[in-house]
Amino acid sequence: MKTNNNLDNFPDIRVVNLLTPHFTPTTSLSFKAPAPRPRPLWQAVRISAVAAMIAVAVFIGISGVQTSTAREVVERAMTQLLESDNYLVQFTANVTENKNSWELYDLDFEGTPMKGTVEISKEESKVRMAIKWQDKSRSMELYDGESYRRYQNGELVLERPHGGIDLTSLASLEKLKAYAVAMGLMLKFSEEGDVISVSTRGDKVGIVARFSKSEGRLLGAECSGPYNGQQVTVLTVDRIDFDVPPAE
Amino acid sequence: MKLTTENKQLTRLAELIQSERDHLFRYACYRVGSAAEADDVVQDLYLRLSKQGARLSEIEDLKGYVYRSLANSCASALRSRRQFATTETLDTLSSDDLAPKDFEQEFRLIERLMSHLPDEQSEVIRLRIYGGRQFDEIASICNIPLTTAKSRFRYGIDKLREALEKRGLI
Repeated sequence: MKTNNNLDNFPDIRVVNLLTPHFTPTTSLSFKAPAPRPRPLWQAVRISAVAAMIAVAVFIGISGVQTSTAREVVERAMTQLLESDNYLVQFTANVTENKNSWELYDLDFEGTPMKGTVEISKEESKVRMAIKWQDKSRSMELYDGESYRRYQNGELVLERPHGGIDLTSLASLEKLKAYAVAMGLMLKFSEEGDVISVSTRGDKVGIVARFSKSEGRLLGAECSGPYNGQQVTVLTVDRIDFDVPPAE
Repeated sequence: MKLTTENKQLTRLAELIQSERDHLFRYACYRVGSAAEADDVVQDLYLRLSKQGARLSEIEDLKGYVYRSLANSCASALRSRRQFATTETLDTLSSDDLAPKDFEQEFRLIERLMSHLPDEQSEVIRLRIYGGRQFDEIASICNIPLTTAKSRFRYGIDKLREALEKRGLI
């Protein structure tokens, strides 16, 4: 028969003690409501771009870098950056070969830096994306809105149906706006010459994006995360050119 | 400058999450097992809720809603993981494991203990111990009567006690 005396409760306390945390890490997160002030259009556009990069950071944070393919991350960043019909992104990513899925590479803190380009072009409702990796096989991954194709040394080595890149979420200026509003006060702006840098998150998974003040456009960005006690960059957007016709 | 309804609600949300930050973070930490991931889960939760803007005013018990959403976010983060699946159970637990020396060891111990319980009991225990919630708040978060919240906590602790006693660990 159960009793409620102290003796009977004693083991309960020991169990509760076992469950009670003693080594909880600390967090530096800070939450502040956005200031209710109107933003000039140029600033809103600029912040939207940064917000998209933040989305990448959040995405990496949630999924874990080890489980995100480079395509997923680049696709997401670029999808949300899309304000132009065609553009070309030059990037460097730390990658390892992906042996478990049809994607070619995974982003990995311990990966090897590899350069590549992403070309995105929009034709009516279809979006075509080509990732060209500067590996020995000159691999190219092509998403043309209907299928995924992988080429190595110019030869088709894999083809499968693919629904294409869904840009409906980009209808999401609203989505970007929400990020911008929500994240507005968490961005740190600094200025040096013509370059404005916007950084996020301090020592956590972070993004630093650079903008040209005179051109009013995004120049590049880095995405990094904590690994083995250090902040390690896993993806760098070296350059973005807008309205570049796609190469065949 | 006059605040719009959306601004007011975003302020209400930000103040609530800021004041609950440590509890939310601790709950997430002991659910997903990583401070960085817990940071991201809490951050993402804030962003998602922020998107609701003025509609937040329709939520009466915002605190309960936040904790319920956090529990779902953590479960979703765990589901999306393709690795780190634990197979450890109480059967391999040693007395050394009961004296963890850092967060990782502590998390593994807690995970093993929790894996011995039905989900509804472990969730109440998590909300109570890591989320720092009172039983009436837990009842509201889990949408169960107050007595059920208390009994689930008690049954969970009893079950662990019996299991640990059976193995000679307490």
